[in-house]
Amino acid sequence: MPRTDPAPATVIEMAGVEYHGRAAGALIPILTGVDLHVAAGEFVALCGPSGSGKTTLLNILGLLDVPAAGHYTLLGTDLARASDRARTRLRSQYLSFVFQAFHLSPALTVQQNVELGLMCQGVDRRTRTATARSVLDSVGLGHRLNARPGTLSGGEQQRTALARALARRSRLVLADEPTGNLDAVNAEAIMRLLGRACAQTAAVVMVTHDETLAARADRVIRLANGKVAAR
Amino acid sequence: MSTSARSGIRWADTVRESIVGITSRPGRAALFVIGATLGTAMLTASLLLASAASAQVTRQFDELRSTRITITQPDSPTWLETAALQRVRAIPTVVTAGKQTLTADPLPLTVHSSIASTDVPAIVGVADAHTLRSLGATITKGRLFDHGATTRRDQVVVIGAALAASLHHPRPDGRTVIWIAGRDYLLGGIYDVAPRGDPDILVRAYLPDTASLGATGARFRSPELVVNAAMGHVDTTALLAATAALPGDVSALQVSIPADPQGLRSAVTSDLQTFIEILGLVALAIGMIVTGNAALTAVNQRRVDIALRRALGVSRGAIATQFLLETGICGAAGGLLGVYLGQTATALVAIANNWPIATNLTLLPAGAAIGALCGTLAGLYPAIAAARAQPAIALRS
Repeated sequence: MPRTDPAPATVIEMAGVEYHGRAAGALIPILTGVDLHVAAGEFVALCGPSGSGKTTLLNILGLLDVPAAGHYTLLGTDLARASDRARTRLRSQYLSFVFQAFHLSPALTVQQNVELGLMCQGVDRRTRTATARSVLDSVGLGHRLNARPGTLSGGEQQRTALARALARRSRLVLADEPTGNLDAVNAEAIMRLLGRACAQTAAVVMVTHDETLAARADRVIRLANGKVAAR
Repeated sequence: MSTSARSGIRWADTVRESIVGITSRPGRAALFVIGATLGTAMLTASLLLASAASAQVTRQFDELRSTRITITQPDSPTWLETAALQRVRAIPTVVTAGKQTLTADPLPLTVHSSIASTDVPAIVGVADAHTLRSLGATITKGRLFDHGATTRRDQVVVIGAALAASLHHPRPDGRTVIWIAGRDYLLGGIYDVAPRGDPDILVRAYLPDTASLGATGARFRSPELVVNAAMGHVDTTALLAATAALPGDVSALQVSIPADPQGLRSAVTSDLQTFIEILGLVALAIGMIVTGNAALTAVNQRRVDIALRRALGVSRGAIATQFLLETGICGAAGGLLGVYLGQTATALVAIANNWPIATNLTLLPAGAAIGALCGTLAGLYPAIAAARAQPAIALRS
């Protein structure tokens, strides 16, 4: 699916973002005063110990959650007062996700899973079929188009999930521990593909525990106790 | 690239997703369908059975209602001619028809026997055997007089069982004589009255011919046309018989028809129908609950799927629409199946009870529509729950 609108230089602009959880009726700070700037084509790794707020931050970046305070501008759109409809439209047009648990639909084939991402963008049937086949070819799954996710290895499943994200030609790819369930060889392949996504002018924000993989990003942001500890 | 206004996903793709959702999980879809099938089958059966039961109630009321019609023209001793009687008998819904002429006042009846002599006043009628049968007379002793007795002007009499009791049970043995206003008649028979017959005839005596009473000086009322109508056709037959009896002046006639317990019949029919229909609606509600529960379970089981679609940019409205379509489509299929099963069950019940079969194929599209509506309503809460699901929580799993 060709993208025709010009890409803004800044993808993410975040300032003073706060987020609270709730436990036993009390508010618990999860993110405190988080500032973040991600440019187009940038590969950013988010690192930090468990409970440091990485996934929460990723959900806020992906418009799946709403911060309690602070400013978040995505591709020039201020999201302070954005409605659910507007956030949904932005997710459809500009965002893609890669999850540690892959989240492939077991009832659909590999090709249909990739097409699903395009279908949610409103792409017509013929185009999404052609795009899905092409992207699956590029990630080395051209021979498994009609396989069900349950018959694939972990690496193949994650490549399918990544193909779903790449096919959407999104401006921002958010990856939550994308190699967490994979061996070193498959992890390497995924990292290579994420790098390719960056080359296609998408920014990538990846949450990872793996310092080696994080080191391959353009920039590493470390979170600790809900705050940005180091950039 | 055309997209719907609410979300990126196209309307046609939402429909396709619904169909995939149904076909990829046949067990769950079967539960949706079973819920709708149960509900619509019970509703169909109850509606049709209510109709059949109402027809049955009407038939039983008709059976209990007397079918005897009496028509007369006051103060007109010669109004009913033989030709008129024949026209009445030619009406298809007339079972029997005859003519009776009653005395205006009771005449004294006496039985002379070796034990005692009893004098009892009674209305005396002149009629043929047809008329007596139309009145519901059934012979218990002796015999009714026939056409020959009328032709020969036999001096015979038949009396009702109550009158016979008042006369100390005379026996029609060929020798017993009954005196009526001073003239003697041989007792031919004693009759009782059949169910739905005229009980007044039990205290009357009947002779085959008027001529023999002429000399007694008895005064007569106007002749009466007595018609026994086919069951369920009393009102129509009364109108036709009056027209046939006196075509030129129907308004001059007095027509007596047995009372129709219309109010009671309507009340019983209405109560029965309401009761059965409420049962059907309860079954439909239970079917909806089954479908709704299955849909709610489906939402819980598919929460990651739903969250993924939300993350990929499908709106809440499109998610809810997909679930409503799934339950609606299954509801329509269940509705079709339910109407078919309901009609089959009703037909079997009707055959077993010898009721009229009240099936109706035009109910099939109505069943599909009701099933779709009920499926959609049952899926409303699960669809809202699916639309409100927080994708971030589900995707963490």
